[in-house]
Amino acid sequence: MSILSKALKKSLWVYHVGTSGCNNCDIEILNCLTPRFDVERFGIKLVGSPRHADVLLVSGPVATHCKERLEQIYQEVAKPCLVACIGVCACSMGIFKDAYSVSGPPDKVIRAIDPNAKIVYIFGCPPRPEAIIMGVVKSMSVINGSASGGTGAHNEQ
Amino acid sequence: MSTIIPIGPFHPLQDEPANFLLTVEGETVVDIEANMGYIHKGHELLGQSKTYDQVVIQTERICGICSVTHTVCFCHAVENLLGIQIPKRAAYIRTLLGELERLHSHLLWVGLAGHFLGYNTVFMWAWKYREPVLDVFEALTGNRQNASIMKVGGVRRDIDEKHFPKVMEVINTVRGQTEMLLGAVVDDPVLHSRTKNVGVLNYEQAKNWCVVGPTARASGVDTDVRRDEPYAAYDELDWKVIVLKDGDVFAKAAVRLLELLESIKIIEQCIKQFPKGPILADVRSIPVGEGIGRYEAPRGEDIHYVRSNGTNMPERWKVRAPSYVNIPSFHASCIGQTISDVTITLASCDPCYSCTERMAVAVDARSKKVLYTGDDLVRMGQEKTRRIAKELGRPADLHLTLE
Amino acid sequence: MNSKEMMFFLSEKFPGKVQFESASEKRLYIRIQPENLREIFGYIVKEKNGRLSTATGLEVRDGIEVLYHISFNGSPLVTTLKVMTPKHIPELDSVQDILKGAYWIEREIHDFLGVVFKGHPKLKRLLKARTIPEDIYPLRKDFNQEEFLANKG
Repeated sequence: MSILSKALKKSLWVYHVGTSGCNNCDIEILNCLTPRFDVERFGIKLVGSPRHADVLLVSGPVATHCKERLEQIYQEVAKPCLVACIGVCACSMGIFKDAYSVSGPPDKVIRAIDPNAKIVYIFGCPPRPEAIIMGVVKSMSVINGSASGGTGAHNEQ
Repeated sequence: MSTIIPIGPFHPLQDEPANFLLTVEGETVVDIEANMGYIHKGHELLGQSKTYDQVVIQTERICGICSVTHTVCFCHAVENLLGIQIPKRAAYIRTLLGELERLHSHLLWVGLAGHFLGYNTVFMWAWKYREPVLDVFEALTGNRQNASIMKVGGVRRDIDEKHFPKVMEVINTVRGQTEMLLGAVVDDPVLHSRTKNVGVLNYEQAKNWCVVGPTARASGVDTDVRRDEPYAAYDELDWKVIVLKDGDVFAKAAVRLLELLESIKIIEQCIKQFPKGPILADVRSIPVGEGIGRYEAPRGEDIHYVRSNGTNMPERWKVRAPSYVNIPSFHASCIGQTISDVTITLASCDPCYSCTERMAVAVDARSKKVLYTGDDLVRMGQEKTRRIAKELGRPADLHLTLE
Repeated sequence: MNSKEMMFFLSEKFPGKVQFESASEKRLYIRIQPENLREIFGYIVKEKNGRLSTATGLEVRDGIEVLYHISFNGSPLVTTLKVMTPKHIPELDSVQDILKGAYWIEREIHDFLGVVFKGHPKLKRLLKARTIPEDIYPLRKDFNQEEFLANKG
């Protein structure tokens, strides 16, 4: 598990923002906590307030109602932080691309407030818990500079 | 003096905009009002510009936990319009996947109910027991959720019977685990005190609010689409509908746990008598007409209405998920409850998150200052359990043992 | 209860007020006039123990049609009452006092199609986002999605 030892110089605290998704991704995120995947053994902890978070897990295409809320949460998160878009809807709106009451994927909403936001995309419908954990950990290691960027899965065991 | 409290999230770890406003006098809830719309994405309007096959894929994403439910229900509506029967093997595949979905959905609910009551062991264990069921889904269909296997007229892909021994092994384990949970729950005095006579929805109220599913069956209303309008393979299988009378949170929990055991019976029979044959009826075009499809989701009756104008896109498609009728019944079941009992009352009808929405903070009606957040309300419920456990001299968490 | 029995009961109780559009073993579609809605709805749900599963609203050439889908616990039958209301004054009597199950669905149909249910105590928005103006009804045929999204910004 060399990438984990490099990436995790400290515990990762994550805050989950569900913006009107179908809840599949939200449940897979919660599954990460449960005994089979057990993220807490890596020091990854779900926190109850955005102010304590290092990583923001955003799921769902942002319904118009939820846009303000997402913007507000992003303002509250302590910078520097990483925004992880979980699931196809969060990455690109998915099948809701043509829906009238959806305000655009989270990255569009967040880049409108902060053009330099660090955003990582974890695809899947829903992405498996292993994919979510790997995506978050890999991206933290890229940001910490301890691994090269890109999607090269051959870099780690 | 009335205070208005918008109440906190169901999801244990999120907090989002309000959708329930509770008016409270002292500690008792006297009124409840719903403000929804935070998850509204416009499925029905979107569906009008998609072909029927595309709508089937879209229906999976209405709700993550009910993905088999909505796809099969939409297929039922169009099959009702066409007046066709699906092949036997497709019917058995739909039954098998539907009951597996019921298993994992009820186990999810058991975990959440445990969390709201303060039994975090129950939360962790129930969600751990769910995982093998999701593995079975993956072995049969290729994905843990969102099987993408349904089509109007049957199913698109066959399932491989070589996985059936694994399915039997998993459901036998789940049966043992459910019986263990039932045993732990049925006699625990702390649980009795937290759930009996709490959140009562009596028979008359259940009929007036037109509730469905376990919420209705726990109040004595005998309704189950699998028996009333048998679809798929249900008329060839032997199982019973669980109906209890008390209408409180305990009855709703008991109905779900007993239904888990019935689902396991159904899956076993399905596997033993799985027929061979074609999996898809020939459907070329959808003529002008209308159809209504119903399905018994884990939460109750799901109903879809489709009207066709002869083109390859529906003219109108209406979805009504079961939580849509169960949640308004809070107007009856939450009134008279104390604040610390509200989260478990709201959770007891198992609202599907996408069919319902998030909640938020409590503000005082006059000063508009924040009184309680959603987390506070969840915490108050958990603290009440610990208090009662201490008074009765019992441990603060349920002790679960696996043989 | 099957379609034939329901057709018999309704023809007897409301002669001339019900028009059976189509009937199969498990589905019955009945056209009624708005002024008879409360009477017929009340009879089916109270005396024949119907349960309002849901109601569908849609815009058609002649107006706005509201369909009340009523099921019966213990039976496969779903009876649908079809009521038409003119587009320029879309109004119907509310039935939420007869059966509380109509409370939310009437609000939803009001949100998306603009039908006013007379007598509903709280006909305010249920599912429509706050950012969508009151007089925009997304399920109406004149809702122009591109224009709406362009103006929304």
